[in-house]
Amino acid sequence: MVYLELFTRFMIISLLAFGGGQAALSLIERVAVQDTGWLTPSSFGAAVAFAYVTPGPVLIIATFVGQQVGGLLGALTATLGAFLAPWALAAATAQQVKRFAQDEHLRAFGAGAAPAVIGMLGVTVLDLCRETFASWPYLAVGVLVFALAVWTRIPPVFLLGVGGLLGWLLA
Amino acid sequence: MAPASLARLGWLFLRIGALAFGGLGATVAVIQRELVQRHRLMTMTDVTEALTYTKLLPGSTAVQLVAYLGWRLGGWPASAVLTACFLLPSGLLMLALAYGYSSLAHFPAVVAIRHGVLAAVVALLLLTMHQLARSTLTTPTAQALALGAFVVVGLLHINSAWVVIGAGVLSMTLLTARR
Repeated sequence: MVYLELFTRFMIISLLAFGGGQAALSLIERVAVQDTGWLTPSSFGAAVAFAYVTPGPVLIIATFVGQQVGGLLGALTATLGAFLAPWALAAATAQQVKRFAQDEHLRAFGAGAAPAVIGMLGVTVLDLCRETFASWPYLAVGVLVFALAVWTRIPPVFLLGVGGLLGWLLA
Repeated sequence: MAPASLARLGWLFLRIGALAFGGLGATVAVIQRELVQRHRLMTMTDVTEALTYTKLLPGSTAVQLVAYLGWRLGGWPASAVLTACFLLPSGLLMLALAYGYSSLAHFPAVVAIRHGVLAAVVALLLLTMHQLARSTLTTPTAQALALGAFVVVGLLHINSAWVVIGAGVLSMTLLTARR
């Protein structure tokens, strides 16, 4: 059943997301694009753009993936899967039932898992590059946006707007 | 906690969820402004403590910061309600965008715009990766693990979950070996 799969896959992603939600983009791309084929690479790119323009956590991409795969119920189950376990862990840590976060084994695990997740983000970026920069003009758009992001304080929403506008003009 | 005050807190966290544009840093800033400065429900020390612990846990740190502070404000029920309130604005917005995307994605103009946006997304992701790398890949071990994961996943197509678990277990083994 697709709803159960959405729930469990996003729960696994959330439990492996050491280093926060942004790093977890690589885990989402691996699962939603490479493993299941739920999204095309270009739809995944659109989802990342939406995550940049909406407030709140990046992992809210789960809502997008869930909706694309299974409509409203899919969106609900995927979102619940992405946030239920991390929420319970954080609340339990606040309660100090057990100092999960201070446990040195968990810390050591996290210290190894976080770099791995970042390394995988490199694969995700490379995959998207292959998808996007097949023609030179779009590579120029990417370089321009990168330069604007590094040297100006223009918010990401507007940078995505610049990209969209140039894409429209190029077509 | 009285229902009336939970409702008030819920409204406050809806606002925080709607204003927190730009990831964890923005969430911390909005929480500091709303909870610490305007409503004086907690101190900045509480927020820093919550951040210290939740950063070590897997999952979205922004949501876990809210879950942790929610628990401090009223136990498990408050934590559940306030976390849901925090997520609601972004969830609804993302849902609307997903439905819009489904119905518009095939229009030529949208396809053209999307291609340009995608180029911008890659640029922003590169920058994000650089920032994450600078803050996390500070030791030779961390750098080696990142490079290893990049090679293993990129070339050998091994399931990502096993790679992350493998890196975590390796790091735990190194900790035990050092003693």
